[in-house]
Amino acid sequence: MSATRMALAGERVRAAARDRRMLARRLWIGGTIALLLVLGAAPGLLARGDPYELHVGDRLEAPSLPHPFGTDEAGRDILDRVVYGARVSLGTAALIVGLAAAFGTAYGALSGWVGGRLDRLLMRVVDLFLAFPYLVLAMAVAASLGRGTASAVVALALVWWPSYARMVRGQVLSLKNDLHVRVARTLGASGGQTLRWHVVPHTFDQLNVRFTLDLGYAVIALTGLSFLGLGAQNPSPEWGLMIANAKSYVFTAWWYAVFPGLSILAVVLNFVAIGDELARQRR
Amino acid sequence: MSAALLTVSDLEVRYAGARTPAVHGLSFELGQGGSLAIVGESGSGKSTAALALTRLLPRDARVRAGEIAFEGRDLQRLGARELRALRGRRIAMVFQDPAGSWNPTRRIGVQLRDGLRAAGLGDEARGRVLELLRRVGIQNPERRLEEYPHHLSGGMLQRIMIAGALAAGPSLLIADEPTSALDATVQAELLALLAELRAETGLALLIISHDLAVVARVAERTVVLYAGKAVEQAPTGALFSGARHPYTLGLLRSTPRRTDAPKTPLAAMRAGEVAARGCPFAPRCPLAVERCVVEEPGPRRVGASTVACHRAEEVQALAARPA
Amino acid sequence: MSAPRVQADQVPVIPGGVPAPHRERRRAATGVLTRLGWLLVVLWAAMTVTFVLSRIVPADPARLAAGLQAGPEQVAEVRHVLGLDRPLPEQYLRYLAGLARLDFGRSIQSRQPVAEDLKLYLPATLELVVSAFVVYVALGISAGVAWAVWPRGVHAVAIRLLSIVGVAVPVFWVGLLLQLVFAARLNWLPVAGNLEYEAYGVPLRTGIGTLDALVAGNLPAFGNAVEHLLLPVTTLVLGQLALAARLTRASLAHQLEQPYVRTARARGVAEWRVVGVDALRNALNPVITMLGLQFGWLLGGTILVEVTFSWPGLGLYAFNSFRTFDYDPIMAITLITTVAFVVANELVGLLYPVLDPRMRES
Repeated sequence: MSATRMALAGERVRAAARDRRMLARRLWIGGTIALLLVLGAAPGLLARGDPYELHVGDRLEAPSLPHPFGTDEAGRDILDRVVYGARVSLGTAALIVGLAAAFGTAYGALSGWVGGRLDRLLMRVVDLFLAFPYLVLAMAVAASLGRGTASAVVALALVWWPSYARMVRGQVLSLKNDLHVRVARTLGASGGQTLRWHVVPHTFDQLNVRFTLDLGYAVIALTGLSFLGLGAQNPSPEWGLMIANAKSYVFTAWWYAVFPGLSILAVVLNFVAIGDELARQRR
Repeated sequence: MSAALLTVSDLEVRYAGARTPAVHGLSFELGQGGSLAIVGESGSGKSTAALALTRLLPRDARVRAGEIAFEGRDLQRLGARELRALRGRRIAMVFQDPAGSWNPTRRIGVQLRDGLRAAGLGDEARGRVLELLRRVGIQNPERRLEEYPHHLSGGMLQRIMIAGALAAGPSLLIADEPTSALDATVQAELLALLAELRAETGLALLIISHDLAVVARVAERTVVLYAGKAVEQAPTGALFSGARHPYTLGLLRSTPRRTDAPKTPLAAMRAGEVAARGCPFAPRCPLAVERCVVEEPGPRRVGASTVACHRAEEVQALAARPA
Repeated sequence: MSAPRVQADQVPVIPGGVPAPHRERRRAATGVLTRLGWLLVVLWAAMTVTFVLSRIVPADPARLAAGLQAGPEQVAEVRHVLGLDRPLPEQYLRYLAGLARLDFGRSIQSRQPVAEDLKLYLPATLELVVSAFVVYVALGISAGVAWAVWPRGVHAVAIRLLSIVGVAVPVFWVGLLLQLVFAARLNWLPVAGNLEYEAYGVPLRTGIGTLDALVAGNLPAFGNAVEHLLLPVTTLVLGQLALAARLTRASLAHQLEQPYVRTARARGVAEWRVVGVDALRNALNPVITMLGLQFGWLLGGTILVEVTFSWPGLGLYAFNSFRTFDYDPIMAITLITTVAFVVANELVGLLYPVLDPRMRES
């Protein structure tokens, strides 16, 4: 076989391997999204019982066949609570990042588009937000608004939006001068229309990646607040709250703290992997 | 002819994962106090070859040669420490990018001192360094040593680099495109300086360049490199007046000269890829025939050159024809 | 040919929250005045934010202060004493004036001025934060350098693994696990708290266990203090370590490709000098930026770790304040940590011209 044909054959084998890997990744992402939808909409399909039901007789049982993750101090099956907790933790995290991204994007896009002194002023405000150690600020806000998931959402969204603003503003600043934008303006599009239809959509790629990664990190931040008693309240099956409750029993009932933590790990890893994949596709 | 200072035979450099070697089959000799130029276009492997001699290439480069003999010792057999001892002390190097070759956050003097210490010279050498700096044309050398690189011009930085290189009294200076980043007048000054220093100290010079004009001024012998392979090797004068390889001819022709009539069109070589089999230059060669595509030419003696071309004898006839 | 600009999507996301912003290198001579001015603006903003937060609290602070048994007249009296019946702008000014006097209000649970409580709790937090930060910087940079110089090996795999897992778990969970394994099961280290002052007969001087033990010349006590420090510090450092290592490695690897490194090697300079003295210096620029930002995470993480390990510092104080709706301490802690964070980053800013002479000129 000629050298060329051998090289081409090698290329084909490599390309086929690449396609297989890409398919595997796509399936993974699809599977994850499907699982999330099920967990969100119908956790009952995966759980086997009621996460709120108390069985005081079965408290703090080690993992076993009927209770693969063991039970907590109120006799509730931890696996069920973890499954239902996914909805709480992930849903809340999605809300937080959604709010932060929405507001941050609008703010940043406007600031970058308008430019000049107003832009500088708006960014100064962002700098101000970023000058605070964010976890501490979130705690203070959550504490002041009163306990509960709603306070946690407001607190974290408040602390999260500035980085979206920064990111989008940077992109808008560089996209502003692109040819297609100038063409749109010349053809009569108003500033607002151009921004909305021709500039902002190009930020979506990077936004998607950031959003996906942040979903995972928001879950962690949320669990932090719940651990301190500032987020979800009992008897919600939020994962951070479960770990907080587990703290008192950790030496005798290790499963109580370990399994919710492992779920968090699994979920966040997943989001990071998806985010990385999205980032790779961008290039 | 004095005993060879540097003898390289059959040098091959291959990067991990690359299909073709960056340099292969390169052999040359440099005598005491002599000067040799390695010429080629970008990507021809000339810098790689120079860096390979003292193992300055990145980790994934595999260097193999029949021998790399310097002052009688085979450099390949030396341990890392022994080789490092040679660097700076016996073999000095000057590089292309004067601004980039200095650490921007440390003073010039401190960086020179590092090199001197590595060469075994202590602070007593400071006087010598100052003397050398003056010799290479730096006024107020004491002040200059206290400066940071970004305060000085490219020409000055290069001069200081040369002075630093010579401070330990090496027998060989390898200069990798020393003047490419400088403008013409500075270039000329620097080359003149190199020639003077050579005459004064008996320093041998191995100069890498893509610029034939530079080569003509400083090198006694020239090696022409194409795609990592030496296509022609000859005393510089003979090379210029009687090239034996179509590539060399093409290079000479494409260099504009003062003696050309104004508005003479620039002669360019035909573009083409590097052939994987047979003669690598064949796709671009005006003299290429069937044999060239099939059989890679080995080096042979033709006239004053050692040349790797099946049709070397006919190249001069080609030269007679108008471009 | 400069230290690499860290791109926005390369800067590691600080786990647990906000991604690190793209920090532009500030020109050193951005006037000392301008920087001081910014500091004051942030300070003012922090004070205003804490004021606003303390006023939007759902519970009635006067009632909280008076206690649950108090009748309406007592609550009204407390309200008057605390100045809560004055118009808001006046309250604001009084608040600012109080802060200037370092009057942070009163704590309901301890029944004494918050400033007194702070004196009590601050030293332990200082001990924890400083130890964790020092360990973090030293280990992180060393790991990064080792990784850059020897790209393949167990350490590279370990760091990569750690960097993936480290940011994917809550810090308090790591703490619990460490407690479970090393304290409860293996019994190698104490479960909670800091130096056992009484058990070792060390007089309480600064409140910083290790320091007090050293000052008292009591070596076994020092050992005990260190043992108590080990798990909390490890918890804080573990998750973030890989981030510092990664950035150091990337930055150093970039520097090692620069021409000046090759020149130094060609001069015969020893490899360790080339890496450690020449290249590392230039590689540190983005690293110290990140370290400054990580300090902010550290402050938040410390609160969580102190709660997990019952470490008697500001974090535990804050946690108790959350539970008892004691707002003055919460605001005080927010203020202090914000100031610490801003100061830390300003200090980082001061380091740039030290490392890079090009930034010294205006």
